[in-house]
Amino acid sequence: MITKVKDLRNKANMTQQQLADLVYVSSRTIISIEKEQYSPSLMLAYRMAKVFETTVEDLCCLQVNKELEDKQREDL
Amino acid sequence: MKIYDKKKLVYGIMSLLLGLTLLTLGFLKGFDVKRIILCVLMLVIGIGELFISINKEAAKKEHLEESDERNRLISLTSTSKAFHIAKNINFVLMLFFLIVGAKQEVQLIMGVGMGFAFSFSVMMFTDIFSSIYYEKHM
Repeated sequence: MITKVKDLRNKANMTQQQLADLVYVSSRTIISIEKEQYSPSLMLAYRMAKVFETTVEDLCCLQVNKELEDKQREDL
Repeated sequence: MKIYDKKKLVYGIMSLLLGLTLLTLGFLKGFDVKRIILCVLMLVIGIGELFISINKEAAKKEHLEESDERNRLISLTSTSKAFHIAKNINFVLMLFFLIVGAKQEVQLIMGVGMGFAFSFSVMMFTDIFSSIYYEKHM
């Protein structure tokens, strides 16, 4: 899943560990989210959105991800 | 001294006791390589677990690792994958031993095949019943 976690974290001058501590997950989870290898749960996405003072929709690029998913479905 | 993780404390004490028992046995009956390795391992694990149980930061970190959603997903996925692989291997071995046993007319091989068949059917029913359970509860 494409997210803005890395961009927003860099803008906030935060380390992966600092963000992980704030949202109660391991730093490996943050790394995986940033590498687009892992999709966060709704609650984790909400916690991160709160940290960056944005919405889940914006943080998780829901519109872009929906369009990508729709395209993949059409290609099937 | 405050205990932050009771489960770790119990594991720690048990490992430490096992390590000390092995150490005592070693002094009484003599040490061999296997006993020394096991003894050191148990003592190290025991001390480590005890440290985590009484250290706030370590207990917090351990709890975080256990409750981390990605770690839980990895654990679930790997367990499920391992179960399916084991089920398929079981099925192949069952067929192999039953066919070879039937062709060679050796009852012992057929018996081994029947053992795998029993194990496979247990796995099948476990899979079916757990699927039914989660269909109802999720």
